Amino acid sequence: MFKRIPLFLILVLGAWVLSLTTPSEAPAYEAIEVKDGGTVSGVVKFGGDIPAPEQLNIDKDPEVCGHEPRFSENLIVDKNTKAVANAVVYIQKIDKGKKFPTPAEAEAMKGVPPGFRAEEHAHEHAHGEEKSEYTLDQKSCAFIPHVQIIPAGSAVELRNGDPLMHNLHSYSMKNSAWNESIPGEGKPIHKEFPFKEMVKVGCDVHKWMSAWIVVQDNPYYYLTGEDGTFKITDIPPGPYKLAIWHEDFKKEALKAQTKDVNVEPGKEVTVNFELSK
Amino acid sequence: MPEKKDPIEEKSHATLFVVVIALLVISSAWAVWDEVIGRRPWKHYQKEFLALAETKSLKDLKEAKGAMATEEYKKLQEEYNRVSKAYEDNPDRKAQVQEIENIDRELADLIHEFQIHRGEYQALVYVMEKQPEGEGKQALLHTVRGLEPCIEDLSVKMTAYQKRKKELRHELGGLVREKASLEEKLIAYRTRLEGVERFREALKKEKVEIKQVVNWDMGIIDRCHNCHAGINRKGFEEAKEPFKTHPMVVTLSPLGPGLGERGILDIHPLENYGCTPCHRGQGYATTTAIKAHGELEYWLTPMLRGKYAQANCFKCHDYEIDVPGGEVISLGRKLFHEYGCVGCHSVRALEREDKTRFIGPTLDEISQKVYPQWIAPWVDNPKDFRPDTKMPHFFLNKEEIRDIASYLWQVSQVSSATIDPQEFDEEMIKEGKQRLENVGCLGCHKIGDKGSNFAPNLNRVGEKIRYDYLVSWVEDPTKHKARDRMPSLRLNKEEAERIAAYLTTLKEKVPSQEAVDYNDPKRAEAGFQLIARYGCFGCHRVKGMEDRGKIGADLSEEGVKPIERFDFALLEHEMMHRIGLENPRDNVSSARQAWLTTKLKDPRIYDTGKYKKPEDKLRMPNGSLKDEEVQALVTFIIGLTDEQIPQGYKRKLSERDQAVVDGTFLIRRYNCVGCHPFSLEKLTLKDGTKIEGMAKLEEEGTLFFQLWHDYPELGKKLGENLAIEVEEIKGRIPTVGGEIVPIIIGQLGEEKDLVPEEARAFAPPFLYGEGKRVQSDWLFRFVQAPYGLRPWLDVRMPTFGLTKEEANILSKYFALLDNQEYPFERLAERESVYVEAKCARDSEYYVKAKRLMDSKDVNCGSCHVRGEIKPEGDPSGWAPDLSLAKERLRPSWVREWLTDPQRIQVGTKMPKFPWGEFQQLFPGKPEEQIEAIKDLIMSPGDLLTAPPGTLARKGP
Ligand SMILES: [Cu+2]
Repeated sequence: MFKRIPLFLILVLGAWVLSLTTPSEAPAYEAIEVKDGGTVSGVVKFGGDIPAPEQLNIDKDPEVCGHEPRFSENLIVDKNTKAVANAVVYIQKIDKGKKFPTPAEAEAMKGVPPGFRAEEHAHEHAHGEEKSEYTLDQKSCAFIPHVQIIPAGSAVELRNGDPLMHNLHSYSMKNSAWNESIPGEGKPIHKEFPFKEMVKVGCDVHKWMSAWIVVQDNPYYYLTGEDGTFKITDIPPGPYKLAIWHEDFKKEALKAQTKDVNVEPGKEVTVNFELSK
Repeated sequence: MPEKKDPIEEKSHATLFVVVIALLVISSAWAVWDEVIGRRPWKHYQKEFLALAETKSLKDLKEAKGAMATEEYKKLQEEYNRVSKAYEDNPDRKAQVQEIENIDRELADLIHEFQIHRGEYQALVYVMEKQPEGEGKQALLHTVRGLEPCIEDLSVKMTAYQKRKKELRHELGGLVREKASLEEKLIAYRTRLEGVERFREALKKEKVEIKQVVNWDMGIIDRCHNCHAGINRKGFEEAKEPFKTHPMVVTLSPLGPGLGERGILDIHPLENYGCTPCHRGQGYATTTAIKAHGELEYWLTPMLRGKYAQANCFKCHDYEIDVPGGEVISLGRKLFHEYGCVGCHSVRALEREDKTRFIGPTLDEISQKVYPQWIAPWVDNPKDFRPDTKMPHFFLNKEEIRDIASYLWQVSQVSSATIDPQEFDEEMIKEGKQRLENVGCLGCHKIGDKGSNFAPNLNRVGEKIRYDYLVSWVEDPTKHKARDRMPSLRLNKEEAERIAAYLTTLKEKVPSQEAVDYNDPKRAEAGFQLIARYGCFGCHRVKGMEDRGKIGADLSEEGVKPIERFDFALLEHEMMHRIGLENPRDNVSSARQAWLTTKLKDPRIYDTGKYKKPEDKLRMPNGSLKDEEVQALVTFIIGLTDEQIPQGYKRKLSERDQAVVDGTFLIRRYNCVGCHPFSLEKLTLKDGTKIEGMAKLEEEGTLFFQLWHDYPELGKKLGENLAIEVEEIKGRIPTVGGEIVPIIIGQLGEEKDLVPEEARAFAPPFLYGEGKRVQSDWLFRFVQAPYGLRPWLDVRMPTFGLTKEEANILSKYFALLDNQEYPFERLAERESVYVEAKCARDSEYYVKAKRLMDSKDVNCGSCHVRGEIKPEGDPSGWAPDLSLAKERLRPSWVREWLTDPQRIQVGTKMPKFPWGEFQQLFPGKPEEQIEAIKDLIMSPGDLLTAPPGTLARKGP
């Protein structure tokens, strides 16, 4: 096998490896020990009248995808508190700070997902199973989780828990885009995400399916759950820009929401966001 | 007695003699001096150049040697010795390579075995699950369990092998890579030194002597390089004249596809072509620069400098539309057609473009089409109404315009349309706008600042064209007599009405309501005369004047027309002063260029100060050309000569190149590039790496570039992104075509919240590799009568009403561009003999293939239409009709497409074939499964759509 590679290829390959600089993997984030760090917390709420949830047009494979009407997860707002779920709150630029979480630790950096039934997932913990990687699963023709945050450079395991074929199509621009199909209950596939980006994933067979993999280049982030609250901890004291992202709002509207925060040692700052359409 | 003086002795001629001798000596000396020095200024130049080259190469030599004496070099050498010793000494190396090879073999067998076993296993599990509870089920369960250890065992083995292989490759790879890269660096040092040494060797042999290029075929004796001694040598780019390197010895970026880093002089070597075929001048003159350049009285072809030398590309490259490296003349040629110059001026070499000379709309229907009040201001100043129009300004007064309008009005068909503008409700206008945008009009037209400049800008069309006419025009432009390029989009009446309603709202000003009368026959008579004089029928079809000839001068030999025939009128002195001449004869090239440039910028300028009757004034209209357009047109025109080039020297195009040129001409004429992207983007990086693919995003100085080939040297596979710093990019050739793609992506982002990458699937298809994809005869038929092929697209391939010849050119273009067989080819899969042979070997062959296609994990029918059988769900999620595939696609393409669609069209919605499954449905390797599906798709008759159970009977 090795013999078949022509010499010039080896030469060129070698030259490349030496000259290999990794452009634009930005000034890399440096993990340091954070003592006496501060905390930013708050809640994300919806401003104005909550739009009626959009019903999905589930027009294929009803035996697996279900007959009951289902609603889009693009925007999930609590009727009473107006709390917005699946919003990503993060610090925009920070070169040094706490280390990136492991997939298990990352569980603490998000709220309780909407519609989460503790009893359904009880067995996961009962078995003492610790989350060892980021996953994107598919059940009843929906992606689980709908939104997740991962550190730049980590991989996601793509799974298919349904008994029919799904294909996972990533619509990324900075990270390599791909389109992989997994047959019913087939073998999982791993994909890496080296660059900070909000990556949408869809299934070409079932048009309504969508998920977001939010790749962050620093570990200061939080994914809101059904109560809309967030809490970012162990921030080295100093001034920062706190930004928010949510799939259902326009870029400009989100940009306008970016807030200046000053983190003081050992203290907690409260910042609230109000997203409106 | 006085001594008698001897007259011979007495009369001394000594003085005279001395003088004469002196004169003789001086004149001989002068003759010698003149012969040796005075008339040979090149000797002096050559000596100077040799000295210059000596100094320069000595400096280079010192630097190259110096570099090899540095610590850095020594360290590199030591490092290399160390690494290569380590590599050679590694006793395991051979063993490791051998081991990897063994593992690969073992693995291939294992995987195959594994697939078969698992297939059996899954099939058994399925049977077992279906069994009612009981003994039978228990027995089956037992068998199933019995199979498990074997599968488990295989899987463990496979994993172990894969792990070991990875380790081995890692161990091996590290050293190899290191060694190779060090070696390459060392070689670079040596190559540099060797280059300088070679140059110095050559320099030693060089003599000061007359040099010349003789080419009797072309009648060339060129001695230019006697003074321009550095002209074809690299490294003298910064030297002073006449020693400079020609700027095109090696161009910095590739000139065009396939040309690479070769310059004009590499393709036309000095030794064969000399200089004068491009630059003109007096090639054999050696006594003064002025004479050599031919820039003196009575020399008819003085030198063409700089870009004007491109004028001469045309005499050998007359068939090509884009001459690589001849951007200026190519532009000139294109503009000559686009601005309608061909409408009035004959050019022998462009005769084949004559039938497409009507660049303006037909005027036969004008009274039905436009509001009468619109005409006068338009003709008076077309650029005022539409700044980017190609319609030039004619020097006409208001009365003359009215006369012309009267003629056109009276000969055009009587209008039945209502003139009053109509009111439409908001909803209708909105729907019209939406349809106009998503069906693809903006691929050619511009509205606001969105769209293309190919066809008329529609920004104020509501002030110009009547609603009724718009409706019938949009519905089917081909119904109108106009032999226009506007294609039919196969819209129905309702759609056309909505689009027309929207178009009537595109206004900037309230149009004048002032009554105008175009019915005076006397005015029509005067108008007829004016049209005859100004030649409107050069660009527009005008009723009653179809047979008129061209009104302008024949430009076929304009580049060699005697300078006396260029009338500078009263401006001669002033113009000559500006270009530093006494008289146009002193440098006919400069004078000719000046005359043409001035004429194109201001066509009536030579009437300045002259007494002329209105009808005698110059007739050429003013196109308000930009400076670079004028330069391009002048370059094109001065290249038109009577020169006969020997056949061997004309660019002979291969059949493929010819097909590409012809195809490109049509693709531009019908603006296929407005919608379809045609090629990949090509990048050259500063380190020499060349890559092809698509730019996806540029952010903060980094370009994210999706690769469309494998680049093992970059460690990247097809489809992966490469992040490149923008400043590392040396050359960039963008994708050709696809103007509408970003518009559609933007629109779908707004309307349907699609992210750009997702929206790309809704843009017109990428035609890169189209020749490999489709059968030529299908394409021939399709371009003549297109239909909706991709159910998810709103944007629509229009019907252009192409002739048979045009359709042939296009299908040939795509086939030959991708090196496919043309015109006839055999598609065995479509023959019944093939089907019979397959069935003879396995009577279930097509049945199994069909079962596989329909299985829940392949399920082609989930998205693909199959004739009358439609998939579930909304048509916007459907995929092309598979029953059309056998008429349309090439079998080899189908096989590759099924294997990995992403390798053919990165980003396609088509999922990858699930590799290595389905042993229970179609036992065999994935390649065999794909082959069977391909055979079924391509099979004749209705095998593909036949109901299940009937297939087996089709076998013999
Ligand atoms: Cu799916």
